[in-house]
Amino acid sequence: MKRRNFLQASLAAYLASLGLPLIGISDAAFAQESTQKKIGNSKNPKEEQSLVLPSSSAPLIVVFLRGGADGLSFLSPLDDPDFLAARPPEMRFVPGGFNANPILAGGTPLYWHPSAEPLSQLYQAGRLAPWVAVGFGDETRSHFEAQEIMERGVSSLQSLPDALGWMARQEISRDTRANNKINSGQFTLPLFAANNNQPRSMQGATEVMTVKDLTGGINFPGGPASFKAIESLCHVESSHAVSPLMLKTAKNIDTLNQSFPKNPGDGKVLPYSSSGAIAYPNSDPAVGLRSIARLLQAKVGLQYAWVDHEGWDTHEYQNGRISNLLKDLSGALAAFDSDMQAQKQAYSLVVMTEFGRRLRSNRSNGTDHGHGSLAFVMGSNVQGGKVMGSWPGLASDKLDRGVDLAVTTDYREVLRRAIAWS
Amino acid sequence: MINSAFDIPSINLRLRYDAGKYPDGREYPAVDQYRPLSLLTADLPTLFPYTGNGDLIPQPERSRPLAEIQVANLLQMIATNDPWKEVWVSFWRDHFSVYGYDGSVRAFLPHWERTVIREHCWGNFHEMLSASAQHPAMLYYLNNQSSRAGSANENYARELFELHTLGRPAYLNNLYAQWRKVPGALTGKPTGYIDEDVYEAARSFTGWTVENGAGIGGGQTLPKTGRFVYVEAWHDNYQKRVLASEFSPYAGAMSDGNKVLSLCAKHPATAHHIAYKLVRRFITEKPSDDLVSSTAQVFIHHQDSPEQLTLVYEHLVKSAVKLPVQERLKVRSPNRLVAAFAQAVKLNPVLDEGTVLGPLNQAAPALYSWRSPEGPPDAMQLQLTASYLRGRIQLMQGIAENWWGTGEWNPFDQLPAKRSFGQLMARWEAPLFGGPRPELSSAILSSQNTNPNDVVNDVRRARRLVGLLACAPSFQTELALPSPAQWMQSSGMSGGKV
Repeated sequence: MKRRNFLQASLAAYLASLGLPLIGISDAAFAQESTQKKIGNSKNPKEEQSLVLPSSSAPLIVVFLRGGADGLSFLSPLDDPDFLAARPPEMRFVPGGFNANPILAGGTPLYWHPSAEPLSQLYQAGRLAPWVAVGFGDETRSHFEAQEIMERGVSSLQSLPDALGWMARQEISRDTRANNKINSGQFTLPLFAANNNQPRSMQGATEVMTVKDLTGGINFPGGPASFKAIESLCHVESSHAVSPLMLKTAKNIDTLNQSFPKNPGDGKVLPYSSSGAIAYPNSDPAVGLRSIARLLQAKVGLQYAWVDHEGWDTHEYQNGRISNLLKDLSGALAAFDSDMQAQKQAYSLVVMTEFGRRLRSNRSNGTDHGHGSLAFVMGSNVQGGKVMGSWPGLASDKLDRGVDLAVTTDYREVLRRAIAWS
Repeated sequence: MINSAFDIPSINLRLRYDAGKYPDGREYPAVDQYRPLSLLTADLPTLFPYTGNGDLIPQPERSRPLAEIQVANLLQMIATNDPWKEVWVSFWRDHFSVYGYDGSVRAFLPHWERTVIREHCWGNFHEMLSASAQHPAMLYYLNNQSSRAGSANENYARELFELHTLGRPAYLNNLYAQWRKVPGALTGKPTGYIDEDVYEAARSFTGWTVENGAGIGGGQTLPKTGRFVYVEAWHDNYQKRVLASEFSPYAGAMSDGNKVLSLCAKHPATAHHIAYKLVRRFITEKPSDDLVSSTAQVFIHHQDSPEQLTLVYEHLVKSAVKLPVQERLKVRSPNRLVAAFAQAVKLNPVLDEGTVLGPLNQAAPALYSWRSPEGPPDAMQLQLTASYLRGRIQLMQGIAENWWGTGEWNPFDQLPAKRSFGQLMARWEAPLFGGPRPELSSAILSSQNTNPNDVVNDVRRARRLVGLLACAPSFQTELALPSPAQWMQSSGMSGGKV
């Protein structure tokens, strides 16, 4: 059996075991990678069914800002009269200090938010590139649809190639283990979500783990003896609906914990400590990024990782919320980058969100669901220090539906570039 | 009508915090007390100060409403003989999910659960929807409390359509503002909704807010009671069109909002959306079209009945038995795991310390902890991630071995003075699984290199082994619904006559 056919067969069997349909996985779907360069601009929806990215030579990490982050607050067009007209002073900030001088998106000056100083430093060091007016063509303004589109790697939910998340598709559609340096044994963990909840992007994956905080390792409750008990129970009840999943997950917990360095005295996992000069904040998304750093250090073959950062749905009292969230985000990214640099660990990281927010603020001092958003690409080989994408402008006739920042770059183009820079 | 009001033993839950200061410099003393769960029956004015408004309650005490509601739910699950009733309550709690770790929402949770969820979950959907729309927990969570004419806050309106009523499949987003193109719109029966409906519905709810001391112009302020109030001055009174239905200008107080709720509650897409979720949650992860549409039919047929949701439930009970048991197994909630184990081993858990809440909330998303309004996921795969599976195993062992002071139980109950490991395990198979499961006991003992014929005297080791037994896949899952016979017995309804 050819490897591709084998993968399809095993994928179909696996999905069936999860109760998920396998829709239209064909040779063509697997071949899309080579034939489909400009996925977002295709006229024929059949041609842009799904996202299969090239292999990333360094681990690819996505930090997903849940709720639809207001990119117009991250990098604000404070010299644009249309922006000033749409947002009253209490919905803006006054630049000064590190953000006194704007960066340019084409000819449009954009000012860093006061909480984003670490990002501006990464930008100046050429390790971070903001990407303006990112999104997709579909008109949805629903969180859950927009997140699903971005996590399945599709352009709309109208035509779907399969039930997979795009990170799962990456794992299944190629041999991720082959080009990976494995530290010990057979255990590999190509996909990891540093969350309590497994993201849609990993649905259907065969090897995946979802744990938010690995700072202290992940000991098996009751130790090796209770792991053995669970293993035996799952074998005895192997036909039970949850047994395969329980067994695999229990094994992963046990094996993963063994891969972390221990205190020789009591055998307990040593707490993770950053090699970098910038400490991880004890907040999201830093907790998750620290877990990813620990996995990279443990060399378990991590290829794709995901961290959710929640709370960006700022329908009211936006300014204070965004200040706090952006401080957490900036601090986390700076800490992660300094840790990776100190360890000489290559990586590529994308910060993205399901949509941007309405240009005009509402009367709750918040903003409602919009369209075009902002993304960041960051990493060891990123050619940053410049603004990517094309700024569509904020005049009414340039806005999507006359109200929202338009989309000029498909989000998958951002992911592709992040991999090209990996 | 089936009653799902709390019926729990009174306990004194520990409240402990250090001395501190309010922002204005006033001091509050340290507290270490065991207090009754007094907030469960509190009215809104009593709960309002827990939002922090007015700085009347010390900051560390403001999480008390959340702690009480979480403990009360565990107590209720332990106390009930009909755990399926609690699963029904949790479905509706998740359907109208609110994020209880937000300070303003948190304060009102006991009232929310009592008057919106438990009060209406066996009643009429439209009434439950209306109660949710006017409750401060929802008004704060989805921001309608700050929505004003001019640029209305769209948060509530959007989730009303997408999550509470018509559902995602009915969102015809690519039509955006072309309402005439929505199938059925020109005859007044649109099959779905578009963004324009969201915007117009948001206008309809302007002025639906909370008495929280806000100024309403002319030197007047709202009282601070936490109660719902309609502020005419904040309402957008002009004409609207929602779901192809025309709203007159100046239609009267709350008329616009009530009309939206009615249109949504009675829309066929709502029945279908809710039916799909119900079948998925209560019967199978792979709902068939037949099952969904028959459930939707019952929902629609009884839409004006005060027992609409009871009748829908009865339909689920009757329909479920047509599917094989293996397809209907659902993952047990952490509360249910604790309750089922405690019941099996005759443990009456002591919860006064409240410390069990920590591990309980690591075994699944905690009650009221889901941040976004779609509520926690209902899929085995997402309930058994590494984090949550680890939490489950920890929970079973911790309860069995009394790691959190919940109490000790006698594993040698009804066993002879000289008993073997084999006898010990066999003793607990039926209470845990409903019948003999020797293969599970053997698996545990051989995994622990324990000879079943050896004598067991170590009580801690005995508890540990039985706790491991409760980690078995069979104990981690259950049928969500009662059998028709159980249903008939508990409800007095006609479920037996299929």
